[in-house]
Amino acid sequence: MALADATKVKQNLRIAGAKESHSICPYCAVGCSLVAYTRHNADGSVQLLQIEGDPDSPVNEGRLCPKGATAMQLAISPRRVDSPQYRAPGATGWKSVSWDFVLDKIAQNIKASRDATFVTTDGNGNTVNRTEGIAFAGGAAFSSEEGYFATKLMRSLGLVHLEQQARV
Amino acid sequence: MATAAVAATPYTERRRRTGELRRRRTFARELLDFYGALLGVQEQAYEQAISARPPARALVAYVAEMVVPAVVDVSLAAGPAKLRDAVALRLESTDPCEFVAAWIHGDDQTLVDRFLARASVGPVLEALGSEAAAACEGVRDQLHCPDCGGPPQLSFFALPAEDLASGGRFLLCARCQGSWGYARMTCPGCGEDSSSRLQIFSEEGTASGERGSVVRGLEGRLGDHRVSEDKPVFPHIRIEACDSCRRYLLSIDLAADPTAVPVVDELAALPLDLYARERGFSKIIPNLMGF
Repeated sequence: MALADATKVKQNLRIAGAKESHSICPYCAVGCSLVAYTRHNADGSVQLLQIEGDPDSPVNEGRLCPKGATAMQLAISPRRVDSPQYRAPGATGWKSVSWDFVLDKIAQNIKASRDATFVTTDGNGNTVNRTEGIAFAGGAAFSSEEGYFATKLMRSLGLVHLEQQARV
Repeated sequence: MATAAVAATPYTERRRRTGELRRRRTFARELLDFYGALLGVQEQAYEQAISARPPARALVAYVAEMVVPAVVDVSLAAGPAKLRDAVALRLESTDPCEFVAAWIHGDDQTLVDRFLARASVGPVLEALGSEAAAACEGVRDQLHCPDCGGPPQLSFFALPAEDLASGGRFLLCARCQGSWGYARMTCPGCGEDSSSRLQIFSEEGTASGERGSVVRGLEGRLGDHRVSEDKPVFPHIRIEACDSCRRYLLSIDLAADPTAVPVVDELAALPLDLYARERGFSKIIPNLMGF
């Protein structure tokens, strides 16, 4: 066979090396297997190009839910907000602030709400020591350890309203 | 008298795809013209074997007598010059039973012997199914066809049953065209499963992220500038190579092109074969046309 034409086509192909790696969906406790497809650029950077369900996994057999199927956006979406946003009381818009600022702000707000709504005894005179003015919601991506830690911390503050978004 | 409807054979799809690719892939036109002519002979052999049903022990004699002459004729009539000369020379001195048997036994063969044997045995094994395949020699393990023990010619990702799913990976047998499920991130040549030793080469613009979609196989907008304007020549084919055994095969993604017919698309992906060879990889087994 004449290979000249095929060789010409080959020379014009823009081929790049890629790798597939196993990963696990970060969103919920089902733990669906993912195949992540990455390209290694000439400058040494690694580019994530595709995430899909792993067809060989007994957990999800290649399937993903709508949230998991778009897991790539968690890593690369240009619309992702990449710093904490703060809207001051009375302000009309959000502004980007530092992590130090928000952590301080959250701590101050927790302290203020707890001081204002702490109940030491109930109507019958029983000692309860609870914070009724704050509720806590954990995220679906929590590990067991994070969930345990969050519960301990919140109980130590006297919170009674604890919820967990453990599913999509 | 009522006539029975003519059932479509696997060759119907192969002929359709050969015609399509012949128009689109000018670099493979010569090869596909010859393959198209060969398909006619193979389809006839396939249908003949379905009605004749030769017993498995007579397979070699049946193929040598009933199929080889037609394959030789079409090779002499429509084959490339080099093949024509080689076939003419070969047949002066050889009993076709020898090269047919060698292919079924998995012995080493010259290019022309292997071509004649493969082209002739293939449609008969395909027609007779697992009973005849059982008569072929070879290891029956994950790296070989569970029916006939043949090596994998190519890999393909099946069309998924639903939008947000990925289809499983299958290997297609070089000998009987049977297919079997195989772990996706594992080398079909040696079983290597460390992803750092498995290289994939594909054209830029073939991954979903480069096509502007977050979900493979679905149209969708990623909403940014990453979308490449250049259209890849092989949007659905990639080279899967292994650093451990230095071999490769081509993988056809049916989700990226549901009209593809893996065995035909693999033949027409010559530039990718040339690329893999240039990188120092050899194919697990060359395809029917010797690439």
